[in-house]
Amino acid sequence: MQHSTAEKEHAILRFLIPFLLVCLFAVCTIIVTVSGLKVYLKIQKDTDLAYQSRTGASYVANRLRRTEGAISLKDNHTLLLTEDENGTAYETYIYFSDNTLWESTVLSGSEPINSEKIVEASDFSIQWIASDLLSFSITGADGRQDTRNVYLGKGDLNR
Amino acid sequence: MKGRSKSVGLLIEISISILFFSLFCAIALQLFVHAKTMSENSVLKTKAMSCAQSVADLFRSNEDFHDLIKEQYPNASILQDQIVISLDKDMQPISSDSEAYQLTASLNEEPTETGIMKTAQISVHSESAFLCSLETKKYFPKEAAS
Repeated sequence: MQHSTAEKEHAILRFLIPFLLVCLFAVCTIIVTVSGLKVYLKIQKDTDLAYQSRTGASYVANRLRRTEGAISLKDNHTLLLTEDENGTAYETYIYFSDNTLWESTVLSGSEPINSEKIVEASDFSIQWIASDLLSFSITGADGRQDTRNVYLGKGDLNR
Repeated sequence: MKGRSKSVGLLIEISISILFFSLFCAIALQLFVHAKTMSENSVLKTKAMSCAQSVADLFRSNEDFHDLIKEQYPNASILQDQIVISLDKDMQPISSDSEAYQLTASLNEEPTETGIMKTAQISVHSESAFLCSLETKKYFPKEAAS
């Protein structure tokens, strides 16, 4: 009888130990998978935020630098670039509306139509800080602000 | 007896599997931490570089650099040949009491026969880490310089 009880206990242990080890294996797998997922989501979030603020700011800065015509501000949220192409004057509006930064190129004197979305943002403002320097800031959806100063290096800027 | 040796074999097999798994877990977790740190450093370096570029653009302007710095970064420490701006982890200017990073602009003037070459060496760093550095130059012809 005693012998049978000991054998029973032994049998339970024989199954219990591998079972616990399998459980440990499963828990470790879950920990590693969750950690990997967290890291992936964090990197993804950083990439999205980078796109929203820094990519938008870089686009506006490079757009300003490569403009050969006149640069002016319609208001603190609207940038107006006037360029001449084969004798025809075109105006490019970069403006903030409905939590998005838009760009639209139209014939001079027309209102912006068929605007293309640059980036989603919660705010965009731009101002002159010197005769050859523009400062603008884009606030991302997370509330972080990216401010850039752009030297335009031109003598005949419209203000 | 046969069943017992089978279960011992299974136990050894599972133990070895877990041992290898633990080893690879440790390596994978290290890689995850490394990836996260790299991502954060990359964001920080890009922000630092855009901040340095903004200061470089102020330097390149025809207006007085020191006046522009005073206007844009009121908390900056301005010396004759060096400007120090305290920044937080988002690379936004802050008061020097709670600084996390510093932007340092070292200014240098080199007179030449035809004018003055002004150079600014701009770097962003913390006490323990260096983030980025750039050099910008502006030439003032003699007539303009005088």
